[in-house]
Amino acid sequence: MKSTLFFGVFSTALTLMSVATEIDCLKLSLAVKRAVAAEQSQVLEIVSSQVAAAPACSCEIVKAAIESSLAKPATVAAIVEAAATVAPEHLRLISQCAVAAAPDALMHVQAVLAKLDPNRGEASAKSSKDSKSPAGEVAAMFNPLDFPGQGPVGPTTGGPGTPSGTGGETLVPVFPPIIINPPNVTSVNG
Amino acid sequence: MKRNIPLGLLFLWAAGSASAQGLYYVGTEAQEALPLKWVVGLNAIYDDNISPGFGDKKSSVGLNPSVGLSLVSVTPQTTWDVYARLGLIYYLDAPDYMDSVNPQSRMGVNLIHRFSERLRYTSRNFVSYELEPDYSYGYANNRQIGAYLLWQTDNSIGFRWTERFATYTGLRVTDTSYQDIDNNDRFTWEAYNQFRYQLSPQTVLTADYRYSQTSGNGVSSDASDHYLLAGLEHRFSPTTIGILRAGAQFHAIDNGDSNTSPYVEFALNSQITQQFSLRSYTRYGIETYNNIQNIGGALIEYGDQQVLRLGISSEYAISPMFSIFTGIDYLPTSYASGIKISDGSASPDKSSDIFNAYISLSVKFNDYLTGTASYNYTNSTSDFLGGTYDRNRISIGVTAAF
Repeated sequence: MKSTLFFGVFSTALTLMSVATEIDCLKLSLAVKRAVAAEQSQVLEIVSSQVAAAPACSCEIVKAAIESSLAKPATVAAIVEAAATVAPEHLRLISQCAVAAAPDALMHVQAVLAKLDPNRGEASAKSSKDSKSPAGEVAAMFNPLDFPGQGPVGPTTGGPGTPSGTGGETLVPVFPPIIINPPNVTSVNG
Repeated sequence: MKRNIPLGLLFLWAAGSASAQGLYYVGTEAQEALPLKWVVGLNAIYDDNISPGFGDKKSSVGLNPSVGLSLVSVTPQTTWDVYARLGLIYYLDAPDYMDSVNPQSRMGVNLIHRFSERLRYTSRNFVSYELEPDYSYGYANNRQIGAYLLWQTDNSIGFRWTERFATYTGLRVTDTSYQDIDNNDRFTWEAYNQFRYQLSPQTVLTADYRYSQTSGNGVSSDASDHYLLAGLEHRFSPTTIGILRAGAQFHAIDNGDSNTSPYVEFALNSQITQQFSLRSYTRYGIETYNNIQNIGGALIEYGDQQVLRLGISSEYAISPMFSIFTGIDYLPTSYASGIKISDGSASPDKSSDIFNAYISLSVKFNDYLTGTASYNYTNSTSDFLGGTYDRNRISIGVTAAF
């Protein structure tokens, strides 16, 4: 009960601060970190209230909440859903920031995206274009132009797979050493 | 990811991943920038059958010097790499009917530029002048007939129409030119469109339509192909990826037969453990290279030359100093719809099989020098004269990377 009261007061103070003054996302994220660290069980409520009060800082708020709570993938998904519910116009940004903070939660976040926004795919591309950072947070999301998934094997941000590629085999000198096939000893000229 | 293999091999592997890898290729892009690197090497080769199927079995020692360079640049928007190698094979005991010196050179340039998350341009280009170097290239299905010039440029535009749907539209042009023989040059242009749907974060479904026209020189006929393929690109795990495309190929010879064939492309790459990696490829379809054969002095053109290409290769790092490389290739070919060029009469079907295997050991002497020793065995059986042979090759060499 005491903690709930503390959370309520703290959250109200943060909200009033956010509304009354020009929003500083960095300061707000630090405040969210402290709040979540103090009351981890209230992380979803903190995220909801803060994103509602300062939707422009939704990315920082979500990241701070995830990092401060050391959220597991399921919790990351819940944080994304909580934030996106109160700021649906920032759904894509929120999900991208969440994946940037917790790459392991990609599939869980994708599931939230599919549930909340199954048909508004263009928003991602537009926000990505605006961000001018294709290798940053946006890259953490899938792009059908890429080979799927991420890992040490295969491309992470390259083109499609093309097993029909021919020639151009490897760099210098090829290893294992090239074993040359039979030389020019025949003619088809008859 | 730190790998427990010699630095020189790590460089070769990383650099090799940036360029095309023949049928093993699954679209790997350079993952990180590499400064300009030079590699100088010299191999001594013993070949117990340097001209298999032609004349008496002849063995020879050969020398294979080479020098190469590579450069990889990676930025958030643009990735490009350049590689080049100049080399030759010198046979000390070459018979009179073959060249003692054979070229072994190639270079390539690859570029991917992302204008935005929705639009990107991809260009892959290479040129080589050498003997048929590797079965995984996708050209050789029989013993080769000398060094040839081969170049290819593949340019495409990728566009993301929605969050999950994208297309690649491109044009691939390939040319092969032989200096010493007629009827085997080929010029092919292929337009293609690939539809891509992101089924899940780990899976992309694909549907391909390709149309190509091939022009042959001399008596060889021109041909056209349509391909309709469905497939997927899938990441089984962070260290295992696969590509499968399958469908139909409609092959037509100008003023000749038309044939329909199943067409399959498959490639799998896996880093099974930190020390052990495995790659494999499969391709099956109708091919137009080497489809003119000489039988008893008569030229036969096979309009339905179906080739299955299977390959598996592996790499195992025993220790930071020692690594083992192994691989096999299997290429059965069926020759059908044969037409005798002189009078247009039908010719009976033929077939050939090639089995190739190798094992290689590398030893890191220091940060710059790596020694290699390899053994290669080839067995060929064929209905064509001279097409049945065994061949054993041993190679010992050293490379310096700096």
